[in-house]
Amino acid sequence: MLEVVGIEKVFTSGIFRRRSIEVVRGVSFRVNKGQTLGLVGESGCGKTTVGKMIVRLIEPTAGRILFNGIELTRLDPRKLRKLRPKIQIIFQDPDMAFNPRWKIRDSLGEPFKLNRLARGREIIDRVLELIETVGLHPEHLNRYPFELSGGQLQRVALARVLALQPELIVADEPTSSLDVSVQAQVLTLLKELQRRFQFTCVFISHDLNVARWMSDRIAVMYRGKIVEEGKTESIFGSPRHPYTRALLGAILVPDPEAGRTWRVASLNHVSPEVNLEKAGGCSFQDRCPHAEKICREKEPPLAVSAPDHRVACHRFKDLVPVQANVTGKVCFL
Amino acid sequence: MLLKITSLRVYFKSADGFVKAADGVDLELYPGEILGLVGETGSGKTVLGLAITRLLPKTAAVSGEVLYRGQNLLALPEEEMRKVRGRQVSMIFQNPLSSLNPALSIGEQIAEVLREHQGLKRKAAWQRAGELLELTGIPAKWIRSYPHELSGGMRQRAMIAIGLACAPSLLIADEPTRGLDVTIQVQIVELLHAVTKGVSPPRSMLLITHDLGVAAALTDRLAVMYAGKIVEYGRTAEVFRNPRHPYTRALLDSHPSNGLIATRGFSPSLINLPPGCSFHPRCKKARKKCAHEPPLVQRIGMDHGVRCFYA
Repeated sequence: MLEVVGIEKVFTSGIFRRRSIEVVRGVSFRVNKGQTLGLVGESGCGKTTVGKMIVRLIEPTAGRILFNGIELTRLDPRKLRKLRPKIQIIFQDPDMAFNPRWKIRDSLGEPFKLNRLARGREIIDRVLELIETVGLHPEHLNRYPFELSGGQLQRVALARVLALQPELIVADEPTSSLDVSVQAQVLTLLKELQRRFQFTCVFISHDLNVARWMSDRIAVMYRGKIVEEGKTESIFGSPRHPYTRALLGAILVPDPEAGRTWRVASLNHVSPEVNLEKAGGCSFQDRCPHAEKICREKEPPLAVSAPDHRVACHRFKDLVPVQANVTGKVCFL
Repeated sequence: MLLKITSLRVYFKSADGFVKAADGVDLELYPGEILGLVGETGSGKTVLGLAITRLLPKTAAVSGEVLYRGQNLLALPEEEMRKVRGRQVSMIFQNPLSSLNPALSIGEQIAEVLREHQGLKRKAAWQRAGELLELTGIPAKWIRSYPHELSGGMRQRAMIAIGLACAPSLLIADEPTRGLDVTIQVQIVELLHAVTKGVSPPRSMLLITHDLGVAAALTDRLAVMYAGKIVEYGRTAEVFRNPRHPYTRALLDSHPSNGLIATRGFSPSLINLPPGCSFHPRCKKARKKCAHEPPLVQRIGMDHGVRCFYA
């Protein structure tokens, strides 16, 4: 369905002295039809860039992206335009995803007009149907974006994307600006809609705990690379990469008895002094409590650690296996 | 008791009527205690923090009492209030990027507080600013950096450093972990713990948050706010173990660690609150009475109260 093969992105900046930053360094994964891949990592790890490359808002520097066997990266603009409705993206900040001078009704009618899917009265019917699909009231159609709450706007964003009956949706942190209770509503809705319309989804998040509910598989990214990838149960059942474990340990559980056992201190701070590009080796070495000589010399490949589970770490075999239980309470390191 | 708030009301006048941001709030905060104020965006949490520090715009109609060490802050002349702010009570604002001055280095912003409130000389203030940065985990050599040069977590640390500058007895932290990565959130939680429980004598804090995970990790007592009212309060462990208000329960269930169970409906607009209990249109347990009569707070145990007929 969606296959990403070794995509890379190098941004260059500066007029006199060109500087280049490798934001995504050889990311590969595949997502089967109707399934969800959770792409998890801290801000700046390149997860959003990967998302934008999939919908081709950013051109990859290298690599291939295949959608239903069609190579998106080589498609000519006319054919790409035809395919675009099928591949949609939902952005993080709903406040900025809408034209503030348009009523919700106009924003929702736009995709129909642009793609000549409906006309006149028919557009109104379709828009009415959409607004109800995402659990809003027809009266919301006559409002402006600023009159809706973040959660309601994100529902509208979902509706606008659904208008085109997409086969693939990239959801880029769709709930990170929302309250916990509203987040639950929006994510439940997204899952429900996926069951109903059978689209494939790439769910981008910095929170493993949220990604768990949404994803069949999870890929953990760190500094432009996938460091661990596998089935959701497998990632939570036996996380192997020290970074994945740190992310799991960072989950603050709503349970006062468990609350005071945070142990993320064992993760070293990023030291800006270490120039990783020059240093070579594993990109996690400066923060990893288990880094050894080999980690500073050789970059670990993404290797199979268990059936259907890959990890990029030289030392994963030496680390004590841990179990992250369902409530996310982790005892580790 | 360090802080005692009695029937605090904050109304804003708007074209469509009064926005009741706080509608009869009672709260108590003891010395050395961390009190969590949890609730959704728009439930009036931030307004409460601003009312305590008297930083609300002039258009706000405020009534009730905010007793700090027995002194009613709401009745204090502005000159006196300035002395309380910073030295006694200080607020760490939400969203450091818009709260910090982009044109001044973080060192200058901390030093400014020290010069204003503590009358420190230029050099002494600068040196103390460096110490405060170190205390909050920012290397002192970054003292000349500007907010845009710092990461989100570092900016939050700088905000905390400013809040601590005059060693206040009460810290009000408004959503200090919002918008941060999970790994950074934990570090900020640890830092807040260190600067409150970790000092002697322990410092009090009013922690405003929507994240129950953060509240569980830090607070001693909890007050849950919905549509301008406190709907449940109690010791944190007790409220988590035995949540009695349906809204508290819904809030807990919606946390990703507890299964991400959504509650139907939206939080009401503060202009047009539903009659009776504000939560009744979304409540699973609601009966006829809930739609007509506003419930009062019932005490259901030692220091545990709930605003619900059927708790």
